[in-house]
Amino acid sequence: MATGPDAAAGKPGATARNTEYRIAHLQERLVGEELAEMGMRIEYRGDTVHITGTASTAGDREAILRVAAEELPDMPVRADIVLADATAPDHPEEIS
Amino acid sequence: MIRVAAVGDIHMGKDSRGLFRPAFETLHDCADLLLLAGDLTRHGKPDEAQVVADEVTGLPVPVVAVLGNHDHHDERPEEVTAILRSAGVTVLEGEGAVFKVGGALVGVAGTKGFGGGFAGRCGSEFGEPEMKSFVRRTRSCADGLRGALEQLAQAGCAFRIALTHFSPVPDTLAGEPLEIYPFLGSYLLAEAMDEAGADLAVHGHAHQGTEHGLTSGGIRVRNVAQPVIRRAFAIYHLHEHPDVKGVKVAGGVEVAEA
Repeated sequence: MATGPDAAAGKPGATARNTEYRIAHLQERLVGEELAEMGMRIEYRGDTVHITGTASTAGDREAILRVAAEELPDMPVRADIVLADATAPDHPEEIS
Repeated sequence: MIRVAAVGDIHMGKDSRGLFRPAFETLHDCADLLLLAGDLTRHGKPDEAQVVADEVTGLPVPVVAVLGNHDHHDERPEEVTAILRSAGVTVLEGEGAVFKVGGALVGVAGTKGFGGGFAGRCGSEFGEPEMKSFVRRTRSCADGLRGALEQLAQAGCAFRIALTHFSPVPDTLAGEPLEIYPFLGSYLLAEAMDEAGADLAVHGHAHQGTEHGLTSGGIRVRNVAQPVIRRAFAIYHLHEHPDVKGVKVAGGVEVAEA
């Protein structure tokens, strides 16, 4: 029953939905702005937004974090963004 | 045996100029050709294409490319293609190119490809014009790829490689959210490869996918998106299959002598 103190039970759900849309807007900004970044996974887990992926350059990683901070200023954001490795491979794969 | 270097999704812009050149300059020691599997630029702008062109110009191996969706974003794919070609890159869309490696003819058939999804879980040419156009576009890419692979067989290529940006199979998408698979590839591409035949399929586009896959006809598929292979390029040594070696090499020699 949505009465008494339990009526507030609707609020966490509303907050979660709100966060879902805000994450979607963050992803749209990453794609639409100068970054053109479509390869980041952004998920809401345990009251924290987690950003995971591979960035082309250190500048890109900083830009992703900056945009995330602008879009989600009131939320903790954790980022596991690794940089692409542009070194030559050390071995081939044999395909027969 | 031929040595194929391949990478996709390098997403170059002015700030990444020179990033890949040191690794590319090692290609003469380890590869016979370099394949670029699309998304070479960030937005498909001419100045970004020039960065890519400068990165690969003068390399000691042939460079073959298809464009990706990023290379179309600025709606100037013809300009991007022209800039890459001016640097000596062979840019393919629904066509093939043949290279002589040692005594063997190596054919590369390329198309950007498009989405739509995989067998049993895909879009259809039905309903709104936009939906029909979407699926028709993928079918057109697949038809171009099939025709190019068939022409490479007729030309007597000992090795045939299918180069796309979008994925032909779901195998190499593992790690991506299932919900976006229809935007990452189409079974129509794999069907074309299986019908026409190929020794290897190389694609990009799926940054969170995995490297290895197979078509249902048994063609090896490799996702070479740079975030997946985590190197400047991957190298594949393609060995001739003993059952087909005689037939294919004989065909190649006939064409070469003609």
